[in-house]
Amino acid sequence: MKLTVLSLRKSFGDLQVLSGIDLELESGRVYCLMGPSGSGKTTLIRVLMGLETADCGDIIWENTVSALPATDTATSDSLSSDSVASDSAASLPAANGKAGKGNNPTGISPRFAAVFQEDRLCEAFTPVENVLLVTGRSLSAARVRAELSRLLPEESLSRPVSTLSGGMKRRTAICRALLAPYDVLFMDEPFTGLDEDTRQTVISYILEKNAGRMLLISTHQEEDVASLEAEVIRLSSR
Amino acid sequence: MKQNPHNFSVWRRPLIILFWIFIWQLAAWLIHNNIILVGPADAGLALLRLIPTGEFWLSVAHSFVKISLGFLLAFACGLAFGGAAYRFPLLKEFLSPILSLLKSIPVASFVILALIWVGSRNLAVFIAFLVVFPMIYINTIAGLQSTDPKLLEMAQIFRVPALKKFRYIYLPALLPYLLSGCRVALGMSWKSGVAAEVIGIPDASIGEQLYMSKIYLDTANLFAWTFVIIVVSALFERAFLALLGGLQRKGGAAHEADRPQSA
Repeated sequence: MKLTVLSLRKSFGDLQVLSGIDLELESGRVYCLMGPSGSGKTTLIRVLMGLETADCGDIIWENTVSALPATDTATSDSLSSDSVASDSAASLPAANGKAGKGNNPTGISPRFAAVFQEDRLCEAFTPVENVLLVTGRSLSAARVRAELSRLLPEESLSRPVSTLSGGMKRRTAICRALLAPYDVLFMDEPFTGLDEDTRQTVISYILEKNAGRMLLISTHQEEDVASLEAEVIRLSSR
Repeated sequence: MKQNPHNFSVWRRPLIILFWIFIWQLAAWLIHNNIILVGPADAGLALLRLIPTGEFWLSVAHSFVKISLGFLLAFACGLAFGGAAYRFPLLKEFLSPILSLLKSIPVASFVILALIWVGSRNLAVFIAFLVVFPMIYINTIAGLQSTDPKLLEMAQIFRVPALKKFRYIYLPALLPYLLSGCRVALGMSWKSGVAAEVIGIPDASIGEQLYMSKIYLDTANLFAWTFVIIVVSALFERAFLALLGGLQRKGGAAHEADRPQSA
């Protein structure tokens, strides 16, 4: 799977958040989206997921092109892709073929999973139930429990999420995204609230589970780039 | 010696109740007129005389079935229409004048109208329905509107099926509003249902018994029946609220248990 973004622009009222973003991303690679606070990382991820509609520009998944209003490409965010290291493209699970929303209204869109800036967990339910919510019938409760226990203490798996610490919630959200069926995974600052050891454990788990699929992570930490063997996409401040 | 604060909190409430029962008995002794006020002892004796009779149980069962039926029908319709109004704002606007009317018209006016329309037999069902429906409807809309939009976005991204979305996202937001609405509506359904029975006097009902107490100036019986109403409505309220409160956890646990065990 290949994602091509051409001259993407997005503003909220008078505030121009994204101006002329161009990107090319491929499956089997990890990309770190970096930039100062307010540079539009979250907005770009939301636009790519179809949660926000871009003002203009093209988002192309595979061969699917969506034409948006005429693009003014005169200005562009300074955007560079510093290849730190990259794996070769790997085979990818098939997209399930549901039509997406946002900038790709008529095409076939890949299946997304996400770790949002907030955990977005169902607080009254256990971590196991939160994961089962998104996994469909493909995974049993026992399997989900086994996967979660790699990142969380066993005793926490049967407790409502509302009783867990911030770090535990974050790991639940990460596990939920990785166990869901997806083609492209977006993670918006996923390591917030995790200590260094946990961070490394989580990164290893992410790399193991995401194998062969496209992963875009927004982060402020340069060391994450090396740990994730990622390519850097840098957004400049407005 | 230091008093155990836990022991005191356990005994505090019964002691307060006993204090007010004593004041009530004292007032009855001072007034010394069984038509104006009977004491708790006389009311208790009247209740003990009622309990062994078949008429007592028939009246309680009749009113319980009618009022509960009205409540449950209103609960189901309030949920359904509230859900539909949340989904389709035009329907909400369309129903708005009817809801305003239902909330502002006195129950007594409805009772007279219901006597003409449905007769006294199903009067309590009709009145309980009319009183409860707006409360459940309004609380259903408010509960659904309180759903976290961020969780709905999450469900959209992960393509969570509609039924799961309801169970995991909408229901936890809806339940606190529904529980709060039901607490008020359950009490109101009994108050208005019995009041309607007193006006309509359906055969073998609590309302008829209260009416007879008025005719014969039998204050002891009036107090005894009032106590029965309080007990029956409280039992129904507790059972219904416990059922509703257990729904959310049960839904989640059932979901996990439903999973196939191979993966």
